[in-house]
Amino acid sequence: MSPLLKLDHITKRYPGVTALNNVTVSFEQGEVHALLGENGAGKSTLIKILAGAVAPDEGSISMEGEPLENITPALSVKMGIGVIYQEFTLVPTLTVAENMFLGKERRNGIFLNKKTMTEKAREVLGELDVEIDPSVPVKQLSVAYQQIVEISKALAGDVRVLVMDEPTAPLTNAEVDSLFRLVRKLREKGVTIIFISHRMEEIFQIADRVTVLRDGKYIRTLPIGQTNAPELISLMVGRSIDEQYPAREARIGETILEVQNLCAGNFIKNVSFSVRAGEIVGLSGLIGAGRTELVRAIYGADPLTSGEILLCGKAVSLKTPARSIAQGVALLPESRKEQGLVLGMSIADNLMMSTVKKLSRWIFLKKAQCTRLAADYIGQLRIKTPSPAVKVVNLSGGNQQKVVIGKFLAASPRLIFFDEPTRGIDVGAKHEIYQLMNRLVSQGKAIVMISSELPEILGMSDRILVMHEGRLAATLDREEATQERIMQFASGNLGAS
Amino acid sequence: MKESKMKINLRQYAISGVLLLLVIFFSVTQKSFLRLDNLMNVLRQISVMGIVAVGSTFVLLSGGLDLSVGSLLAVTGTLTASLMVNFHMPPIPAALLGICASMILGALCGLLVQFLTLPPMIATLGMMTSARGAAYLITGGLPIYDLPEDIKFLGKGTVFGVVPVPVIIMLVCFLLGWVFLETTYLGKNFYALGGNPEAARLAGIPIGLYRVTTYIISGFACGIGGIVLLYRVNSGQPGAAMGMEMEVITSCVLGGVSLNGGEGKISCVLIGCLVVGLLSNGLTIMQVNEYWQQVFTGMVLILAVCIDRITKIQRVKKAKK
Repeated sequence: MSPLLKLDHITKRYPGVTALNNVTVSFEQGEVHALLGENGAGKSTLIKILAGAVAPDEGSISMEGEPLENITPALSVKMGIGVIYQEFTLVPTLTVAENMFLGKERRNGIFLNKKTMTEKAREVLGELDVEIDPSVPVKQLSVAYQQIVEISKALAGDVRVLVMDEPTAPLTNAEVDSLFRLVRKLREKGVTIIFISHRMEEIFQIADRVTVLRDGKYIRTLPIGQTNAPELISLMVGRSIDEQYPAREARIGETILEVQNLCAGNFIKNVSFSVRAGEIVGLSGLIGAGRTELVRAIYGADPLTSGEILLCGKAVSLKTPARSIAQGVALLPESRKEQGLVLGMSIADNLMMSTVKKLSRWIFLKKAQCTRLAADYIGQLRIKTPSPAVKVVNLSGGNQQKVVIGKFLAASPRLIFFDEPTRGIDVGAKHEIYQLMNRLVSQGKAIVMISSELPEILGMSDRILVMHEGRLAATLDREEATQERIMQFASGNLGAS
Repeated sequence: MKESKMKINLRQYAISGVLLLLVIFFSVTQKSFLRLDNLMNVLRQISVMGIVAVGSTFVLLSGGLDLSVGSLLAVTGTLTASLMVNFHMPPIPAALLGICASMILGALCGLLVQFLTLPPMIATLGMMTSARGAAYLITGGLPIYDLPEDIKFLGKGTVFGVVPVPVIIMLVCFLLGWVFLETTYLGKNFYALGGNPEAARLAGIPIGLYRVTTYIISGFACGIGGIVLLYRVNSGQPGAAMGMEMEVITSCVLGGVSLNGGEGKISCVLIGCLVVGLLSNGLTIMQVNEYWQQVFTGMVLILAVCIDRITKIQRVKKAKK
């Protein structure tokens, strides 16, 4: 049987970099095929070629043996290739049904036939067993539901190949489960799914075969049953990373942060916990459990309603981020592009952002000190760049994340909140960030890490706090914590004691 | 990497190229163009606009927009004129009060934008209309003549007999603006605010304060411009500087300031002002009628922004792998 979709000797060059180098891959009908590779391995380029967004310099694409020449976005859609990007392409103000039929509206003459569209939308959603009202504006839906709408939108056309670029990144575990049910259902219908994820365990859950790319080159395709995570990691990085989570010797000291009966908004209720020097405290929970909200309230990014915050035993008022920074508290925000970086500014300017005042005499910047600071952090964090004057928009995700980290480290904090520090970055950069966190706690700093990846929480934390619906559901020691136990508390199956 | 650095510089200074081309074109075709008095004339003509553009650069860089500048000039001019002529106040306190009024109105816009989260366009559009009305109310609808002569040099004077005082004032404003934006940490914070307000806030920058300050700076620049204009036309005109906001925005955008905030250089804004001034002067010497001049000025703006967009699109294409 010939494959449904075949990429034959594809090469794509950009000035200065060969994004894909003579790559040949084929996708069978009705399989879930995972694409694996570090950032910059060429996965995105491959997707763009399939979507018709960029044309390959060499090589050919064929569908059921028929060559597709001069592939354009329109042709790609016509051939039944649907792509779900990391950034959604939904119009927030339009309804679910309107979004699903965007560009292919059902009409009576010039008038929209809303009824038919709504019914058809309900039908598609029904087939997927999801309960979403098609007449609701998309902006009222959660991220997970928006993604389902995105998938349904692709299915509203006649999709034979569905490409999903990191679909699970914004989802909680429960949501990932329902997404996977959806994926399996599609597979049964004979849809080919090309699945991209950085999360190894997901690939073993869902994929039938896995193809590894590295530096634009095809490395190998393996049936999932004949491989394991360490092998895939070493194929991806070209070397073996002995331990995904580097070990450290915990030297736990004085209490740095103590939070008492904190309430914020009408959601965070009566949260009390403490963090000690040299300690990494993992903050786990489902999305929407209030982890980010809690941390932002402590940091002064959002107002808190009541409760006390003590830093090194002294009650402090951290009403604004500026005060927190002055008190030695830092927050690495959840979304680096929206909250962490000024993308149009240089690496140096971003690194200086929270410390510019200290780098100035009266109001005038001390140029030499600014340059030194930038050079320091670029070296210390191993940010890969030819010059500190490069705009951060041109960096890869991992390097961007390092810039955000550098910016907050420059203010020499004693307590750092990391909110999803490794989201959407590749294995190598993840490892570096883990090592950095270890180095920081060994210097006596305290870390609170929010993560939706349970292995990361288990691998890095000395203690684990689990949140459920705005409350602290449990505090677990490293030894007693398991994925199952955390999930039970996070989903509210075990009541708070 | 050296190559790409050069390209960035080229893009930044594309406007200088436009300026150079204009100068060459007009000097070749028009004999009187390159004469010193004509060049000084150009500078004098753009001086008020330039002063205002310095203030607007702060607002635009921080992601705002100020449409009220023309009306603020009129309020400053009429208020100062009225205080001097009708209330016999000495010129300097009168001028200072005029400038203060303009700054207060600017602050009001800033507060509306910051605390009631009005879109800058709406807040300053409202201010544009109301302040214009206020200017007419101050003078009772008529111009105020017979200004005291004491500070007439602000509009009419020259230094060394050739350089008009308004030009000096404009250059000083640009210099101050440059020092502020390029060499102080406050300047960096304005850029950060315009580039990504949330990231700036989380980095500990009090963005509300900075945002309101930009409108006060704009009001201050309008105040200075208003006094200069008052003495250039030698009367308090309630209808003065009508439509100035568009000229100012044109100059800033020509100078590469992004209307989305966070990007642009004040030195290039000066060049943008020069382009607008030279174009109008050169076309006038060529005896192109004023309606055609408007057509050309509009086209230059669109063309300059198109070039900018095209280079940007290419850069983005290259950056994406």
